Amino acid sequence: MIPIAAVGIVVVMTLALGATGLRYARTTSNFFVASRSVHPVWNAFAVCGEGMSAASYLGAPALIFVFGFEILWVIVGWGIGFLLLSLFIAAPIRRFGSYTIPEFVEGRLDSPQLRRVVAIMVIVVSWFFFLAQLKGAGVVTQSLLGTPYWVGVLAVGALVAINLSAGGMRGITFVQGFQFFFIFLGILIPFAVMSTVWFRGDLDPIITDSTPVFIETTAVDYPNSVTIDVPETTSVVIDGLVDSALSGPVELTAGLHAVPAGTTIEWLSGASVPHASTIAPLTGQEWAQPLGDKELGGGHPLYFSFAITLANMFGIMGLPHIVVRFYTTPTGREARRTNLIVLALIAPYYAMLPLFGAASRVLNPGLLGSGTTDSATVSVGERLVEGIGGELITAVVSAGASAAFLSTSSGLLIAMGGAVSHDLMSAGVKQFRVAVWSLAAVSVLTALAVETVDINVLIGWSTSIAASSIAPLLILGIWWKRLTRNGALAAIVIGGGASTAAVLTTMLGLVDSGWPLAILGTPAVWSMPLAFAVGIAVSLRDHEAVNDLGYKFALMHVPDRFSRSQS
Amino acid sequence: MSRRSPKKRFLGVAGNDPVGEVPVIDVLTSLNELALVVRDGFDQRSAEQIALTGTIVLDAVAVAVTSDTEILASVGKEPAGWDEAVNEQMSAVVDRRRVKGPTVYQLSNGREEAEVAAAPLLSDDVVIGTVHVMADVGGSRVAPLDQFARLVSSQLQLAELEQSRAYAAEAELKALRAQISPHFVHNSLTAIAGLVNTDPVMARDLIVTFAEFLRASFRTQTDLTTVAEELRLVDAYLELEQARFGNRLNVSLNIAPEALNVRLPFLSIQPLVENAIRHGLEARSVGGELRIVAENAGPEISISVADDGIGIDPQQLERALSGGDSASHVGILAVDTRLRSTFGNEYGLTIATGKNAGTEITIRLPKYHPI
Repeated sequence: MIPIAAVGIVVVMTLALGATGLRYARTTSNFFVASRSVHPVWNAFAVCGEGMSAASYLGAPALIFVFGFEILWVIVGWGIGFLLLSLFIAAPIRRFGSYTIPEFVEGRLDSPQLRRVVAIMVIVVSWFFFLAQLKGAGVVTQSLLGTPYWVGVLAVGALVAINLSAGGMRGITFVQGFQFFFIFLGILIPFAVMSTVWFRGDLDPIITDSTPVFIETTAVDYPNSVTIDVPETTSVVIDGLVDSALSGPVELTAGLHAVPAGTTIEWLSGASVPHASTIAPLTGQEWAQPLGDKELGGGHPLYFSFAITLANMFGIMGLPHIVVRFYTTPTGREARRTNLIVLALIAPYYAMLPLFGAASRVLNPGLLGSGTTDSATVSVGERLVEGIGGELITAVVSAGASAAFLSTSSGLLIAMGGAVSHDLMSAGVKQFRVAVWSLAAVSVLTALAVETVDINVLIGWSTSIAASSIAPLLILGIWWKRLTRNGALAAIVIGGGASTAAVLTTMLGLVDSGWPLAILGTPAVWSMPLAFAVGIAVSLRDHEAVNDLGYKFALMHVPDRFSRSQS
Repeated sequence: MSRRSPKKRFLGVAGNDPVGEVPVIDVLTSLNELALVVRDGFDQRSAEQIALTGTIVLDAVAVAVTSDTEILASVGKEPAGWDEAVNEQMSAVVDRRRVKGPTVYQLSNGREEAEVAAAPLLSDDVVIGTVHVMADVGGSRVAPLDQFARLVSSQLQLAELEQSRAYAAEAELKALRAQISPHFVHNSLTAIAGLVNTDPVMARDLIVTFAEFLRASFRTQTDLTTVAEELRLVDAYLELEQARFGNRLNVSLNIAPEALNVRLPFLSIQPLVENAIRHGLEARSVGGELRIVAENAGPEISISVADDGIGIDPQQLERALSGGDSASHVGILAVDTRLRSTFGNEYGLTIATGKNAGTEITIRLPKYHPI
């Protein structure tokens, strides 16, 4: 009950603050306070609230849980991404004054047509990112309430859409600032407990030479239909009907068994953990050894590591919902300061995440068989401490998780809705609402179809596309004077088109193993250089000049203290 | 212009003047450029463009463009004695102010004589310059030159018009400033005077605030300001009004931080606040409540100023806003005009009001507006 109440608090707070969370002053003496801009620290909280999503909160620990140490590169990539954002994007784009990325591109290159193309890319990138958040919502709700996956997806999709159309973004900076605290505490508190347990020596070693075993007699829930691979014949107690025949206390023979949704199987202490047939079992040492013989990236973990790091580094720079957050800062300098604080907050957060994945191999290895590895973060608490303590930890983690996917989902829906109503249709608030509802509906439907895809695979797709389309456009647009309309158009159409096509091929299951999967599933390693190359080559051959180039570059790059007086 | 279509098409010109073969596309392109450049006014640069376009359109050997005192540009193969002849004829044309059509004079350089046509450039029926055109030997350009000069003159007229529109907008802002002042200055000073004996510290503070408000509203540049800056202006204004109203005026403020950096024309919110006080709250002995709300709405923000005062009769308001009854609501009307001219027609203000029902005026602003 406590975890459900905690999630309820986050939801209510999000709705209430979204509608009323404005600076409020009763008398004129408070006027000055209300009209003062947001402090960089608070602004950084808001950026973190937006940036810490289900991808990091749930997705990263889940992948570490399954695959091991090379997934650290995923997190490193995000961290570098925020650094690059700080160095190259945040200040100039703030000084330019544009609110959305399509607006920036139109302003920089004087092309309304390009603005629409970029808007479409914004929708594609945000949509994949949104799918991952909805997936997270489905998984967390499933883990907390035992409801089917679709319940959480539908609930969060509807909640965010209702909130936005009922004016929930009126004070979004405050909402996301508060959500940051839930997210950060949701990771910090269980991390502290886990580390304490670990240092006291109460945790079994993770790096062993066998595959994970149940350290005590464990009942594992199987919320979805799954085929499990039982490594050795063992006696179990089945609540349900395995292989359409077995039930109650039985000997489960080694080999594949079909487990229907809703089954619970009690495994004996010391039994080897049966893995879902889609997950290759790794011994502790194999797991800890990077670049070993792993399924990752179609069996090419080295390629995967490079590709995902690049995708995340450059993808973070091109994520539409992150870039818009800097608009709230008054100057370019403040935008950069804000982002430095973001780095200081997000780095420790990233550093704490891997423990959740690692500890789950000892504490909660049953998830490897139930195919719900994305719930590793939220279900570690109850395994760590028994009774009320465990429930409290689960409450804190679940509240953090819901804050993570709620804040990011709002940001993404705002970005997509704005791209449709503002950039594609140049229409007003009414159309924005219609756009939000339609996009939420489409996303919920597709999120139901990606139930078996790992959160971080979805995020990898999103960042790969962003890194190959929006990011090159921003980097070239801000730092290279010779970029022309045609160059930009070629970069975004070819880079964005190629990476999107590659991702869709994987998503539809047209490739599922080996190099094709590696190259098409994580395309940034080739599609991003391609986008840069095409953009530069076409621009150099193009002689069409952009108007007021000097003025625009001065606007973006002249330090704030030299620019127009702030009288 | 370098791209010539392989199949030449010809520009036919009525009349007896044989004009050579110039592709239509070249003529149109050149005229287009002319229109663009002349739009900025008549100066060295536009004179050069006029001369260049003249050689193409009229298929001339040489073209000179002058102001009313000197040669500004000359293009083509200038024969000997060209400058002197042009200067002389320029003075002649300028002196005969009444002449609107072209004149013809001979240019002789010893061996051959060439015919030169000259036409005045007019703006508001005043000669501001001349165009001189020389064709091949034996050719004449009188009739086409006349048409060309008329075309350029009409473009110059347009430039003039645009200029006066900018002046009008500026004058409007000045008028708006002047319009706040007398009434408000008087009220503020009486309020301060009333406090000098009873609460000298407060009086001193108010005088400082008053000075700040004046300084802010005397800003010379007419460019955009931020919502945060504008709110500070409103703050100074309200502080002075509050001295007069005392407890009768309750002000509440809800500002989303997303709104603070949005740019808007100077003096867009303060007139709305002043309107609420002067036409809504002042008339009531019990005073009332003033509410200012700035909300985030994705790519836009909305700012509303509401009072629970006596409200405005919608019909009277409509008359005021259509310009009929200009005395009472000039402030709102000017804000509406300026918002529309800055951000586009869809960004006018919306007013919800009724007799004794209070008034709420809302403006929408885009977060980004291209430079």
